[in-house]
Amino acid sequence: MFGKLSLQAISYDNPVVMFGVVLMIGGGLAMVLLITYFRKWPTLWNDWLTSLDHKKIGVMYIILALVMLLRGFADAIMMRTQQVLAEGASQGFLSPSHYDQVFSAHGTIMVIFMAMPFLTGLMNIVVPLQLGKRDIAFPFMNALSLWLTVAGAALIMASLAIGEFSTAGWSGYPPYSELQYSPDVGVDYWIWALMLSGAASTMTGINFVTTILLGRAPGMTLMRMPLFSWTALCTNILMVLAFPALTVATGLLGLDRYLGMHFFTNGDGGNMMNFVNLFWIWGHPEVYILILPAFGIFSEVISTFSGKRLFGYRSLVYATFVITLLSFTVWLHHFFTMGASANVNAAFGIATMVIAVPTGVKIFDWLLTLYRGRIRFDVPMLWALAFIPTFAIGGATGILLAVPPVDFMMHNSEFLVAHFHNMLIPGALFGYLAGYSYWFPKVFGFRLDETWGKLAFWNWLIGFYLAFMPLYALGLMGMPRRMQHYDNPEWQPLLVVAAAGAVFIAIGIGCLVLQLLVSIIKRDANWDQLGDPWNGRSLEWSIPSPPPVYNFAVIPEVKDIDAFWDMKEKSTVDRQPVHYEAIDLPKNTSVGVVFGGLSFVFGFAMVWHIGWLAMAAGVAMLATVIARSFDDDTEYRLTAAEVGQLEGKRFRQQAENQQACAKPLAGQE
Amino acid sequence: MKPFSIENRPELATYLSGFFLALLLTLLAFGIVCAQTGIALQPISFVLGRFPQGAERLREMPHWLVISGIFVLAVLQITVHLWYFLHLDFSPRQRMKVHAILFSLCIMFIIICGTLWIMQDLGNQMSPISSGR
Repeated sequence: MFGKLSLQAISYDNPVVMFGVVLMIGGGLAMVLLITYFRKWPTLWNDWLTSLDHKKIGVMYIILALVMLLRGFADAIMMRTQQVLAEGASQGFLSPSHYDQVFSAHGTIMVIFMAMPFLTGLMNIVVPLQLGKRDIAFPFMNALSLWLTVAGAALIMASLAIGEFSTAGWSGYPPYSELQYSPDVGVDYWIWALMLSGAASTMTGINFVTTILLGRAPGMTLMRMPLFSWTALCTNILMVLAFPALTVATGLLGLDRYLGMHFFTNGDGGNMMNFVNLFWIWGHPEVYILILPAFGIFSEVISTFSGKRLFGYRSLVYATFVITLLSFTVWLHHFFTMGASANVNAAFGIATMVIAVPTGVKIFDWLLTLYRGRIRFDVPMLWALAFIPTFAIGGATGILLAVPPVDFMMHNSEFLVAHFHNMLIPGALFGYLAGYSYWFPKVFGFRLDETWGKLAFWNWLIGFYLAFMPLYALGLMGMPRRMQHYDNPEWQPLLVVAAAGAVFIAIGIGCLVLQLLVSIIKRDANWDQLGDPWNGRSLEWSIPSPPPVYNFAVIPEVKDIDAFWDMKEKSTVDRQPVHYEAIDLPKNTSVGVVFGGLSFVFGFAMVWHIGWLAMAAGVAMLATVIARSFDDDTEYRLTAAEVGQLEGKRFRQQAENQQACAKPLAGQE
Repeated sequence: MKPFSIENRPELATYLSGFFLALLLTLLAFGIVCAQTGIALQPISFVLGRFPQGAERLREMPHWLVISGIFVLAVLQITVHLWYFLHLDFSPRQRMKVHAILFSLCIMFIIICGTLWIMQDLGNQMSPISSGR
């Protein structure tokens, strides 16, 4: 009846797991109670969960990312604590199997369920606004992507309470991840979480490539697109081309585990190396998927807060595209030490070094944008300024690892762990956090609190250096990664330093949470209705904050790279147009959230081999999509008169506000 | 669907020529396989029976030529579909699509060749499997 599922799947006897479960369920219950108390269920359902508005979907993506950041960080601080304790006679507080689950979950969550939703959310909010569009290409598919990602994340959260997670690391290499060595459901949770979110990311990719390539505002040629949109385009091209490889790899592994096939098994003609090959065909482009949008955010932020046009716009675009192409030529450096011959290793080592060249071009472009700029040290700019040197250190260690003989010494050590955290934390996460504070006023109409933002920044930055620089040293001292217990007392002091760094990061995360709360409470002090709080340069700042549901009442005409700056210089902004046109917008639909719920049930049933439930959920999923395809009434129309009314109201309000407080614009060029 | 009329005749002609080209390419590929393996597929073996010399030549094709021949036919087939059915051409309106396809082909080439190279290489590095198993 319930497949493999029984009450034994819940580990009552493990206090650490149970603490996490209680926290998770307690947090969920508190949310439910609060929503019920404030009677917000109709608002939540009508205005958010069923919405097809790209801005709201973006916000929901980012909420998911922030929640998963908390979960992923909880895993991180557990690992750091364990490695401080578990030296010599002490075994620490995590059993080997539990520790393995923790690092597997940490990697999977941070890459797939923190970074991916974060960047997808930012793209959702910003890309249509930057390109002067009223919507994205396929609003319903966008909702499907969101809810599939949420379902995948929910599966991972469920694995904490029911059963266990994979112990095979975030990359899940066979043969260890095969049924023979991992008979429990952990790897199945991993497979289904990746399947759901992988499908979601492929659809997001298709959606945004179409959105960016077709139907931009008049005059917005490719070479006038803001850099964030350019990097979003390249990231989505990578998503479309790379994610199928992950789906195939995990799918074949699933066939091995469920139907007794032999794609990657030890015997019977299986070849585990093809999994590693397929996984990294996705995995290496994936790190560029994560990092390119952050590069775009840094470009926007550095240009805005220097009060200057981006230096070398063209070279930045070309560098982005070269990275896109080259990211597909380096994946074999992930298995230099797995038996390839010297020729293969040499070729891919050189390719890896070559990819540093366009990245270097970008660094110089950013530095030269700063040069002689009138720099304002607002919170987004702080993240960007910290990124440049920190990322350069990570890049340098990457070049070291690209040399195969060096990699033979350093692979699988803490040096590698330090390297990729040094790329992804300053390179990706700092970028997303910069984007979060940069575009927050655009989405909600008020700025985030500055003091808490700066505190968060400094704690993150100090915490990052303290947590990861010691790992470089530990790697050189020979400490392997993923150790639940070790016998070398020399490693312990540095691990204590790393743990102290994790504490700083914990404070940084606390500051981010407080910043959000304080900003919401004190929002009246940080209100910004003009929609241009940073003296911005691209089109998203030309519309009010929060943007109306149709984004642009009148589609702007673009004449320059910095389209809005150009309008400000020619003072064509804030003139109320005479004529409006009717606007078609997508209607809300519950199909997306229902489909996501069903796909969670489907994934859960597959994990536990509950055949009838999987079948029922699968059929229901198919039925919902088919039913939706027969619905022809998916749009509603705002007439020209309605748009005119809304806009007229806004212009009147704006005029009143301007009279009330004539705020000078900051940092004029 | 619109009824066929004089006005959209040219379109019909494109579809028909595409259809016949696709059919021809399919028959050729099947013809090679049928001639090589001796499997009798009715319409194909009928044609092969009409041209015994050609059938003989097909049968004697070396293995590498068969494989690469079928590969080339497959690529031609894809091209025919893109050109006649998806209306892809080199006009400026289509430039973006052509670029997208060329870029994807480039990536596919890298992935496929890289995979073949590394799997072959790893296979060569292995010690030979003992025949005991």
